[in-house]
Amino acid sequence: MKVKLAVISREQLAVILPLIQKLRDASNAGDMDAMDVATDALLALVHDQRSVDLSEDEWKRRLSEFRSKDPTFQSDYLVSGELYARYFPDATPETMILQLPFNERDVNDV
Amino acid sequence: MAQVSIGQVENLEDLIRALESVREALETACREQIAAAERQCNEARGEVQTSESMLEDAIQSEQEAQQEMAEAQQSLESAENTLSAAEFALSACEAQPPDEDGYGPDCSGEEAAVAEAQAGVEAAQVALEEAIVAFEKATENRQRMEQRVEHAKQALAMAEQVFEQAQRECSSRMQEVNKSIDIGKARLAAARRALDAYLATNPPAARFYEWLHWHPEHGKPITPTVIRDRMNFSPEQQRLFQGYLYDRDPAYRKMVAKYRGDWTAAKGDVERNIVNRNARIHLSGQYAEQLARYALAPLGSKIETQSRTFVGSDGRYTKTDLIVRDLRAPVLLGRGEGMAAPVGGSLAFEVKCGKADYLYAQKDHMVFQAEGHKQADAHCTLCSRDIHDLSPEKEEELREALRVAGSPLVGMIPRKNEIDQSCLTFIHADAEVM
Repeated sequence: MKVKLAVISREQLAVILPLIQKLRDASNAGDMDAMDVATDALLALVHDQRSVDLSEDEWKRRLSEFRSKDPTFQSDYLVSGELYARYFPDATPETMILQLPFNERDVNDV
Repeated sequence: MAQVSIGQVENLEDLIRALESVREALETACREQIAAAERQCNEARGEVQTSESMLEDAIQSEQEAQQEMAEAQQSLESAENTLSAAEFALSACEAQPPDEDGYGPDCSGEEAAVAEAQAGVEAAQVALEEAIVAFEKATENRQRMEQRVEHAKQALAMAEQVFEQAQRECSSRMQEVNKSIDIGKARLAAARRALDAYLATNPPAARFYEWLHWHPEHGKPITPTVIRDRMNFSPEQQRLFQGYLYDRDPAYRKMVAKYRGDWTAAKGDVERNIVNRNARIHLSGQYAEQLARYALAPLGSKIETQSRTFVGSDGRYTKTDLIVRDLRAPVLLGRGEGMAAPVGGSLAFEVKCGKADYLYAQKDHMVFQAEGHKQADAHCTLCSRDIHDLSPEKEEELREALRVAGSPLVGMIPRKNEIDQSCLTFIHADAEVM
């Protein structure tokens, strides 16, 4: 599993926010099909955006750094770009970053 | 949520069975321990008797030696008296005046008598010394025998103490175990009453209980319909099965507890998303395997998971998900080789749970896996209902490939998403969603 960090333009927000809500609802309902659909739609939307894929461990290391500065930090789908300045040097506090977990390959084998 | 759970009642039954095994083992150990202590007591008692008998002999020998010593003393005194008398006679003889020819008296007889008496005294002295030595030895022997009796009695007292202690401890431990069993049985009886009442008013739970305790009908063949029915699991039954596994399977409970902890600790959407994705990989797989295992285990008296079979000569191997052995009823899956198994025979299952595209993509792998099934009398494949999402042509292509490979698709486990959702709902239960 990886976490994609993608720069979001202000124009995309209107489309992205409802998808994020769907993803949130699906996640809370444990509906992985709906999560996959929302995730695929979001991935398609940010396909042409500047992005970087982090491993789960790497993303968790970044999260620990954020939490060490702010213990109440929430891992929202949309965060300020300055948090990820190391990957996006020209990001400003106004830049929006989508952080989106996704599976690289099918994980259905039993 | 149920007032009483089937799994917890079964845990209680297992506990009582375990306690009864402990009681049996304890009874055996106690019997052996007490028998060993009793044997030691008997040996020690025998030793006391032997030692007392030897002491009696020693006392008698000492008395005889003492008697012999007294007699030797008397003999010596008698010999000394004889010597005194002989010496007196010799003195009297020698005191006689010379005869008329001037010769002194002839005392040779008295001298001989004195010499003989002296020899008698010496012999009596030797006999007395020997009698004294014999008496002293007899006394020493008697003292040793007295000590031996004393030690044997001490050993007997210790052995009796050990014997009594073993009896006391065994009795006390048995009472403790019996008390625990009685308490457990009382709790079990109460739990069973509560469970019966719960099942009487909760049809889905009653159906789940019946499913858990199902056995094939005697003499009636196991057909694809029987297997299909066993795998037909409603979402409600899935929820009950989640609770059952949580209660009964410590490894599953541990995994659920881990993901519940992760879900509760998550501070944000992304972390919760990750918890779900990880649980889908690890927990759902485990759940689907257990579902198939519990559904199929009643077909035989033994069930094996993940048996390895080498295929061809290049070292490749395949793992068969489930093999049911010692079948309780004959299996009849269809016509042809590998489609039937007798009572006592074996039935191999490959279980595939995934989305339609995944199932189709696994076609060649499933055909390869079918080789591994051939170690069983009959073999088949189970897959998730997602196969219906394939086009009719692709679904038939997949079914035909498995039929030809000798491991036909005979049953369906619930859809992958239903299984995921069942697991995730179970993890989210009791946890607050932000």
